[in-house]
Amino acid sequence: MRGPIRLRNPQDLFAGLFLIAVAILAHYLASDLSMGRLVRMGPGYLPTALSWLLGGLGLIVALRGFTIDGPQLASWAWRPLIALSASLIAFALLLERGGLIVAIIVTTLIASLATPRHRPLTTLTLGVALSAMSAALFIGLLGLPLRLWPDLG
Amino acid sequence: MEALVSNLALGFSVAATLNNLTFCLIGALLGTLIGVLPGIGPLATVAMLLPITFNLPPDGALIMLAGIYYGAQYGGSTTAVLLNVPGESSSVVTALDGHQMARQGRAGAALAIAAIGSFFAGCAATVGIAVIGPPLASVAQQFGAAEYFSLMLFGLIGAVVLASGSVIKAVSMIVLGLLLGLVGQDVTSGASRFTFGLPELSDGIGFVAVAMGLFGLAEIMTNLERSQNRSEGHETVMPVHSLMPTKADLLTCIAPILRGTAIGSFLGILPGGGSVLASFSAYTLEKKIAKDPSRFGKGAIEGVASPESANNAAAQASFIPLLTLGIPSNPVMALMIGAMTIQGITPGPQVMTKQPALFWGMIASMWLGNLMLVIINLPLVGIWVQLLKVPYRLLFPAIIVFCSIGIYSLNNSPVDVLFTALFGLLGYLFVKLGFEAAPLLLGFILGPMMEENLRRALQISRGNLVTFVERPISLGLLLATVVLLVIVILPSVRRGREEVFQE
Repeated sequence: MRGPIRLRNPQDLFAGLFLIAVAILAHYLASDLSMGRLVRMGPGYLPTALSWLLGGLGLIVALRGFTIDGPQLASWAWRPLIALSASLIAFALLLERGGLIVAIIVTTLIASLATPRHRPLTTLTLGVALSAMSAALFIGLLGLPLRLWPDLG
Repeated sequence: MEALVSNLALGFSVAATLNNLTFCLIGALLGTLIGVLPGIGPLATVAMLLPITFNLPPDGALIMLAGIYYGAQYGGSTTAVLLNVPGESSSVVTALDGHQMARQGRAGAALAIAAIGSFFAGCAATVGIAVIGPPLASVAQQFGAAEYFSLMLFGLIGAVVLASGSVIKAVSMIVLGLLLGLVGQDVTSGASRFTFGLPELSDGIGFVAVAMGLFGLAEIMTNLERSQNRSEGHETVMPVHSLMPTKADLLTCIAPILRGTAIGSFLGILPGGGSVLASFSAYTLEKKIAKDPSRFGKGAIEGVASPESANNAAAQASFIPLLTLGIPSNPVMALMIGAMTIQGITPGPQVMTKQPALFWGMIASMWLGNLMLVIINLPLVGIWVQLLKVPYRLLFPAIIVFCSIGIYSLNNSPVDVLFTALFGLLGYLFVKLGFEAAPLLLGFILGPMMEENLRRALQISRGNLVTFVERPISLGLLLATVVLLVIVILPSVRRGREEVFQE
């Protein structure tokens, strides 16, 4: 049955495009590396070969977007996505300068924003409790070389 | 036989030291603790708890990790029975009849039979490893680079074929994983690959960041999304009255436990087999051979006993390819390989000969760990019930905090925490695009090893690709790989496969 080309599987189309984009990036990044030959492969041989393979697979997946019926593109839950990533980033940035206590309280506060059901006071209590527990466990018991309080000097 | 006994004796002498018993106990407890949390499966549990093992001696670390793994599986079944929220796909089946039993006030019996079945399966599979391990390892010791390359290829493709979902997308994930595995300094030439000039990347992307991001963080994100869409209704945690199954229960379950153990042990060895397939197959079999199949789904105790045994047998049996061949048959084993590498152990057949104490100690500890699970977890079930009542909005920030500390303390590197966030985002993107992240992890772990063996094989053969088909074992593995791919592409098999995963 022939009909006009129409998008039947948006999820696969975007999945394929994603793979192709990664393949192009990998191919570009590998282009400076020497290929070598089969008998003595250079650092660029496998990355280049794999990027072609990934691009080819991506093309097939993308084409399936027009041939096989499939799911729509699912909606994104931005709230947990942003809040959780931000909480990890905050931890990474704060730990060495701000110390464990500050880092944990801030991380907890940001992470809690991931759900609309958070209550500020409960979250703050949780943050304080977690930082006290972590200080006792990781610095006190396990002796990890972590700074406890902010570096004010 | 004599060798077996002396090997196991060596193993128990290692595993039964106070230190290692403690590590095993802590691992099993922590694994259960995290695994019991709804929505967090064994893979996420192991990924999140990896960092705490890295400062331990190698045998202690691996014993603890194994403990975490089966503890997490046990925790997942507890959640499935009491809450009807399977922590992971291999507990889905347990939830079917287990939760119905709980509704009938028989939660204790369901949990006890799950523990007993798991314990028996664990014992059987442990003996299995001890029996099959040495001969398999001695075969593997004759493997050259070409055989290893073909074996890994077989393992990767096998993992995809038995997994659910689209094959081509899973293969794409493997290739993406292989590419990510190449990030860092090339061992042979010293050239930097895909490092964007960042010195932090010269040793490659940390596999803990990859695993924790893709599985731990992404899983929390999707859990929160799901609970956002769900109305606030608290799932009720079923009460546990008596833990003792009746004598009739026990008698009914003997045969299902035996069958589940057999299925699980067999499927666990296969690449990609693992516990999901094992528990599904065991459940299907019980339903097929039952006199009255209509009881299933309404609280049939066989429907708990058999899949739980299969599940645990498979988990244990999947250590066989890991310990003897050095290839992971599922993503959790890929994490074990990563952990071994960090401990300075090269996974493969030489572990058994060069570090017999480590090898047999780990096997003996599996048996001890299973025993601990039965003795400790059944009395502790009250605590797990309490834990299930803690609202998720308090739990997940705590998990995030502990994960962050764990990741950071690996290398005292904040960059690792940033990478975890990045891979969490990537993992969420994968969920939305219909990709499974597990094949990526397998490719990521196996990538560097495959490249090394490929290069070495081609160097030995002077660049002649024929070497892969000239050597009989390598040829056999490649043929098996092709057969697997052909089978899965054939339409009739594809339909059957979809049916299995739909259930």
